[in-house]
Amino acid sequence: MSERLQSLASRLVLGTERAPGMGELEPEEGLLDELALAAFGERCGQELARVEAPESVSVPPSDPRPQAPRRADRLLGRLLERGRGSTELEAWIRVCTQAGFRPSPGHLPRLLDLALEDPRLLEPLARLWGPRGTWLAARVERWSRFSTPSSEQIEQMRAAWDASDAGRKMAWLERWPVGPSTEIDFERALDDRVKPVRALAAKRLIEWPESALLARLQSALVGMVRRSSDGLELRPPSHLAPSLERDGIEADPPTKDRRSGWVSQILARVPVSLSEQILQGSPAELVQRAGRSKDGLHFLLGWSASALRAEDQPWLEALAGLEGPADGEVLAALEPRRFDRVARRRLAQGRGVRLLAAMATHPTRPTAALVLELTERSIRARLGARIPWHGLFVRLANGVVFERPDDAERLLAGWDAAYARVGGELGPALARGLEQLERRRALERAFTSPSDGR
Amino acid sequence: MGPSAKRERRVAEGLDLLASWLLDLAHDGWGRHDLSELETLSRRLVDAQLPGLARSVRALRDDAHDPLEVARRIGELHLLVRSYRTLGPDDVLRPDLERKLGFIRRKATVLAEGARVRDRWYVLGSVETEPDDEGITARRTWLLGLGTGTYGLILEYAAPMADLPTGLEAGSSADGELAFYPSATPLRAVFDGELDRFEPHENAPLIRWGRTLEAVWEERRARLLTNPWSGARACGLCDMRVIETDRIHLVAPSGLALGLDGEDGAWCLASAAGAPGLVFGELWGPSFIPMLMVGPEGWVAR
Repeated sequence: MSERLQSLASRLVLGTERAPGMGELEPEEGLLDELALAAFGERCGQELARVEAPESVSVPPSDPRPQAPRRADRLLGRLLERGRGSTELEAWIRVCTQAGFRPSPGHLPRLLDLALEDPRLLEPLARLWGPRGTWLAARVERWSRFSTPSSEQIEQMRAAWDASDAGRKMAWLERWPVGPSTEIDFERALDDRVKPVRALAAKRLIEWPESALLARLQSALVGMVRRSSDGLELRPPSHLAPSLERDGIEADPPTKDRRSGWVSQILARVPVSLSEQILQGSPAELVQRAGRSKDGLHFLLGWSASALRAEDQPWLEALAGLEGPADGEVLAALEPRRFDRVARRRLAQGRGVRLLAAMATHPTRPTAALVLELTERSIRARLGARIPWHGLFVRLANGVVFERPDDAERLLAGWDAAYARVGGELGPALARGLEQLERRRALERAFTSPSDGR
Repeated sequence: MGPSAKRERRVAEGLDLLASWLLDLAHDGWGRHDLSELETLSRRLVDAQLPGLARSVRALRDDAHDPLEVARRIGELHLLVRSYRTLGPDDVLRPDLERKLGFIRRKATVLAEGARVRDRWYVLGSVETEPDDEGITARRTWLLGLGTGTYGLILEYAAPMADLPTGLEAGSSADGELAFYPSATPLRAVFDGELDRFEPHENAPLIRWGRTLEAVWEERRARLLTNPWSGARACGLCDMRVIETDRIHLVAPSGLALGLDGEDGAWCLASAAGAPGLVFGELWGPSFIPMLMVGPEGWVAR
């Protein structure tokens, strides 16, 4: 900025009446002329800053995945412009990750922003953006929660821990990797005076299978559950040990029987496979036993939470057989083949309505063959208003797994034919699903069509 | 009096009005100035068919707290009024001044009369603006003629609450002619043909149009001396590194640097992968909006 312009600006603020020039006949005209010249001169004479390049520049870690094909990449650009909440965008993220591609680096900032706006998508997004996204997150303050902190940053936080407020402590507990070098910090946080800080520390420690917290919970569980003659039995303690409360077990859980609720919480935190060892049975047998027991709900609640967290497929399939608590979430977490088996068993037992209702509200992953069968059954049964049809067909179109090369074509033809046969509510719902399926097909093609230059 | 003479009279009246307002302002001082007058003046300039000037006057409100920026804007308004009043009918700067005042030139006229350049036009990218005071959004799409190195700017607008038309994809190209709006330094143009002729163009020879930052900066200075009303322009800068200091910069091998805003800086960091590369973008004085980067991993569009 020129000194001349600065001095003229001061004169303009005061006006020529209060700051007259020296001997000007027309001071206003003179001031304006000088301003015009100075402003123009400043534009023409602007100099660029100089920046000394540091000795080393941070280079992002390599990502072995090939970059998504251009066509898919352009589609992602358009979907990101439309913003969050698009089922197509979620489908893109899933298909790209499954196909083993990485997104173009140019999209990383918007993907990181998307994770801020919609934390529900954080996990799939983190898988998608890979090491370069994590590297970028560490360099921009607003994305720092998605990065892995350096050992230097961890040391800094340790030094500042006691003086930090709860929000800052929680932000760090969310970011810290849990492992041998940081377990001591998480254990210290279990004694924090703020409850949400303690709860978060306990939640994070469960993620590390070798944590002392998990070992403590496992040994506590051994005496609390056992087999009965025909089922399973809980033997909760008469009072909650302070050590268990420190490890995150709620003294007053939202259950009718608070003591059983303590055991249910422990079951939810320890690996579900531990119950196989203690109770000596397979997942299917134990779930059946729980179904016959008066304490069964507490077992099922705990196992469902644990199996969902670990995505333990044999346990999830066993739990889906009983339609227990969290049935929709359990169905949504099943692999396609296991989901097909569960769905066909339920259909054979005449439990199709509840299955369809769960599928309409949860993003399950059925195979194309199962979707066709479900469509035909729905049309034949004319199940009416008990199912949100629009949601169901859109969800199916987005989640269906194509296993054979002609699966998509068969499904499109099948839905087209079904649409021609039905009217009322089901027809428009199928039409919307069909439209979504066409888009989904275009998305699949964007990833599988011959190389377009990369 | 014909429509053209009538308009000239209204324009002259509008310029007189602004000139006298500027004199009053210089006399009374910005510090004693009533900001509500800006709205009235702006409306009267719209009535005088000078919407460009009206926008510049309204913009003073946004910088009211910054005396230096106000001084720059007042200086520019004064220069506009003086220049237009002394302009000859065939002055080379007349179209640029008319554009600043807000005269509208129809696309059909540009297609019929504008200077033409034939080339394969490559889409470097586009920048969309937030809705202005009147709710109008704009998109600036930058094209590069791969054979001639000519830059062209396609401007599109959308009315309040309306969507902009589907834009051209960065990284696509089409053979054809651009018809340029008249200017001492031609830039804005119309593509003569259907935009759906643009198709993805892999491995376009972009490297040859990269220039050093020093050369581009010197060209900008020369262009301003030719045409003080020239605005932002696309350019390709070669061997630029992305450097993080207190903010993110694009730095030339000589150390000359362009500061980047948060979003732009993050995009450059992500796209450059730590290596020097060729960056195309909009140069606005010492600030820069990146649009396309060509680095060791190929090109990355925004």
